[in-house]
Amino acid sequence: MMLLAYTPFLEPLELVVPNLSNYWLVLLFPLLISISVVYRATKTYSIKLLPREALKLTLQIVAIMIAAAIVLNGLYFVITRYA
Amino acid sequence: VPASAPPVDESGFVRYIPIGLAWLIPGSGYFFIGQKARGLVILITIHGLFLLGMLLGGIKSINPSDQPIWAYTQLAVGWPTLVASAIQTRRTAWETEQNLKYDSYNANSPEQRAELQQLVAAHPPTWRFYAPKTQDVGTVYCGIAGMLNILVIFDIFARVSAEPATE
Repeated sequence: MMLLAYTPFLEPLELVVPNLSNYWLVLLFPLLISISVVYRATKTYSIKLLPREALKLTLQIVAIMIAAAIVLNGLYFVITRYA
Repeated sequence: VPASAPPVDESGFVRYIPIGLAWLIPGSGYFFIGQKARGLVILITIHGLFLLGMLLGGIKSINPSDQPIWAYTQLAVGWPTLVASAIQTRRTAWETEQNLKYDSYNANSPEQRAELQQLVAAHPPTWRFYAPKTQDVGTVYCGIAGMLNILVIFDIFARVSAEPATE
């Protein structure tokens, strides 16, 4: 019944995709890709280079985020264990 | 000089039209200065991100009264936010009306309770569905789309302001 009552763009998608919010971290990827594409599109001289440069930037952001997560997790471990 | 550079003899006002266009329709500023491929990429990406945000969070992704700072960033997307805001205002009024209708039933009256159950079965109150995390993600998507368009507006400003020889 909820599926029939669902109106895209008016009601949240979670109405028809239960527990979508549990996967919120995955929803970060479309955002990262968009940021990389738009940023590189404004900077690159030739638009032909855009896919490669955007992919490179996306991977760099993901790598930095993973590194930040590891450092913060380590910091949390040290503080909670020894402080 | 790239073929995309704006004509040198353009007057000050005409020269800066792409900046206004870039705000109103993301990507259109690049079309105006002749950079069609770049414009198409920006047009698809920013509109796509905004639509994805709306799809995830619904119309409540645009909620100026509850999220004023995000509303400012969303406003930078241009026409999609203007249309979504108008729909959101009408939708909020409609939701208030529906809530009053649903809440007017007397829960202590068995007849009215049965009537309400029938109404809910026929028209599920989907507007009362609350998905805070997904709606927040939707708000962020629409807000980031606006911030990316600000970046685009600055880029176009730099391109039209620069001397053609230095582009």
